[in-house]
Parts: sequence; structure tokens; C-alpha cells
Amino acid sequence: MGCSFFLITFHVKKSELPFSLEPYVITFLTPVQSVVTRTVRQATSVWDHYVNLVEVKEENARLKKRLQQLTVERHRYQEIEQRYQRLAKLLDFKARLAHKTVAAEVVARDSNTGWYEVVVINRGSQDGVEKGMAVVAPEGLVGQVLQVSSHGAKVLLITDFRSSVDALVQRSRHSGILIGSSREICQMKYLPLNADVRPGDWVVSSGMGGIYPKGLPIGRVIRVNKKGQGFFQEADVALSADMNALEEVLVIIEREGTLS
Amino acid sequence: MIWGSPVTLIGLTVFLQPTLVQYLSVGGARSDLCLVVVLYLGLSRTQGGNYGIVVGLLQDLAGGGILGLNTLSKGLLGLLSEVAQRQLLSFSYPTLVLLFLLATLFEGGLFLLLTQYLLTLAPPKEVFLRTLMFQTLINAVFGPLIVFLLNRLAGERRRRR
Repeated sequence: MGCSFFLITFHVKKSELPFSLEPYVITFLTPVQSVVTRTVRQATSVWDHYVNLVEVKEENARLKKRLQQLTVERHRYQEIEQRYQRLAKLLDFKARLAHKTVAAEVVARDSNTGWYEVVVINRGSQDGVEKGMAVVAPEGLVGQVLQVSSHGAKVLLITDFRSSVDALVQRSRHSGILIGSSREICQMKYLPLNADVRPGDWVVSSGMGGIYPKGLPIGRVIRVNKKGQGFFQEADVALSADMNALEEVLVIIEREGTLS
Repeated sequence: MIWGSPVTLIGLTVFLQPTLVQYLSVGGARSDLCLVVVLYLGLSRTQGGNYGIVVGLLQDLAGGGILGLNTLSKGLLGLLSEVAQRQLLSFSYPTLVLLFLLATLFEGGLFLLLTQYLLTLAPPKEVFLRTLMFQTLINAVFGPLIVFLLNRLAGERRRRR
């Protein structure tokens, strides 16, 4: 007790003891304290990191889920935008056509397994569709109506081997018959031997036969075959409308007229 | 509607063939679910020929092909699969692969015969052969798998009863 009072009194009166032990104590304690503090800090940091990681993990899972939702939404909006663009293109095409048309959606393909090229659309006799009417897409000719019910119809595509379209080469005005061959390329047959046909030429409907209006684009010539055909030459035509990607089409209600 | 019953299977097939199956095509050819169902019903039940005629007729009416062609081919296949059921003791995977292979080739041959020689209208030979080849492969691979699956489901249903 006395020692304590002595130390207190001396400290108040003077700043240092003549035989001060404080520096020695500090010298001894500092390294130990330093190690302890470093250890405690590291332990605290590890703990903080662990806790943070758990939170980060949870936040990561939440954000991933949100990202998935947003991705799904983005695809949905992209689909809506693409559908809008297709329909805008179809509407523009419909406005340019000099015919009365009805828009239809392709709802099914032929139930056979690859021999026939037929699609089913969701417009029928109640919408004014009749057998034999021409079906078109903005890219080009698609086919003709094969069978009709009240709310649907089957459309024979021009790629079907049973299909034949009276066509002409737009540049030279030579006519021939476009025959389907169950694939994306059709054959234009019965072109006169002296017909001026070159790869790259556009082929359009001639309007003969009363089914397809004149001037509807069909496709481009990719190859001309003059050999061994007798009095005629043939040409392979790549179709402008993609028959495997048909979604919306127009059925021409009026049968005659020309493309404006 | 009882799952696995002929009516359910035929109904599902007629709906799925022109819609879902159209997106699963290889080289322009698609699996013929109708053929698979006809063979399954012919191999597992009696009246295979009748089921074949019904399935073929529905396929003809729903599709845009030559009316009567599928009725004939599926009817014959149903009948032949019923005969196979009586003649064969068991149906292993290789046996089913062979059956589906032969059935697809038979149907393709009948199609070519009718279109080329009776109707004088047929797809180009190279297109026909390519489509038939892919179709045979698809049917031979997936047909037996579907038959095994249907058998398993039918077995489960019988055990539950």
C-alpha cells in the first residue's frame, strides 16, 4: 500500500522514476503483444472472411437465380421482338400485294416422316380459305391449299414432289415448270435449250394455270444443266422462302392480279 | 384414360407426330411414331392388323400424303408383327432393331412401288434413298427403346393391380 502511494505521489510530482522500469517492460512486452495482436487479427480476419463467404455464397445463389429469371425473360422478350418483326414484315408485304389475303400460322407439319412436304395452318373455310388458293410468305412463294376444314387447312409446299408451278426466269422471261423434289432445291424443267438462264437469275411465278398470281418470287437459279435433256434444259432453283422455318404465312383469297 | 391402353397410345401418337416429332429430324427424315406404336401393339396384343389400319388411316387423314398408303402399310405391318409375336419366343433388343429395320424398309419399298409404278409420281431416287436411310436408322435406334419403355410401363401397371 505504501509503495503504491509512493509511486502515485512521485508520478504526480515528476514524470519519470530515476530507476524507471517501464522501458524494460515495454521492450519485453512489445514483441509478445505484437504476436498476440497479429494472431488475433488473423483469426478475426479468417472469421470475417468465413462469415462473408457464407453471405457471399448466399448472395451468389440469389443473384444466379435472378440471372436465370432474367435470362428467361430476355429470351421471352427476344421471341416477342422477333415475332413482332416477322409480323411487321408480313404486314408490309401484305400491304404491297395487290390481293386480298388472310394471315395464318403454321401449326403442324405433315404427319408422315419425310416423304411429303405439307403443313397445316390455322385458317379454314370460315376465314375465306378455299382449296387451290396460293400461299405466300414475305420471302416468296410457299405453296397452295390442298384441303380445307372450317378452321384449318393443309398446304402443299412447292418443295413437295407432287407440286408443280408454272414459272419464268425474270430476266429473260423464259418459262418452265418448277417441280418439287422433297428438299430445299427445286428443279425448273422444260426450259427451251436456247433459253438464256444463268446462275443468279430470279425465278418468279408466271401467273399461268390460275393458281399462283404473276410475279411472286420463288427463288434463284443456282445451276443450269443442259446435258442429255433432249429439247429442254433444266435449272436448279434455291427457294427464297425457308420451308423449314415457316411460322406465319399469307393465303391469297383473290386468285388473279399482279404483284404491285 | 388409362395410360398404355391402345386408345391412349394411338391418340398421343396422332398428336405428337405432326407437332413434337417434327422438330427431331435428321437429314430431313423423322422418326415414325405411328410405326413404332403399330409394331408395339402388334407384338404385345392381338388384333395388330386392326390397330395398324386405324393408326395408318388416322395418319393419312391428318397428313397430306396419298390417302390409303399408310392405311395399307401400317395395316400390313400390324398383321406381320402379330405373326412375329406368335413365331418368336422372346424379343431382345437386337431382334427389335432388326424388326424395326425391316418394317421401315418394307414401308419405304411399298411407298416407292405405289408412287413410282402405280401413280407414276415419286420423289427423286437419291432423295428417297437418303430419307429412307436416315429413317431406318432413327426407327431402328429409337423404336426398340420406346417399345421397352412402353413394356416397362405396362408391367408396372399390371404389378400395381
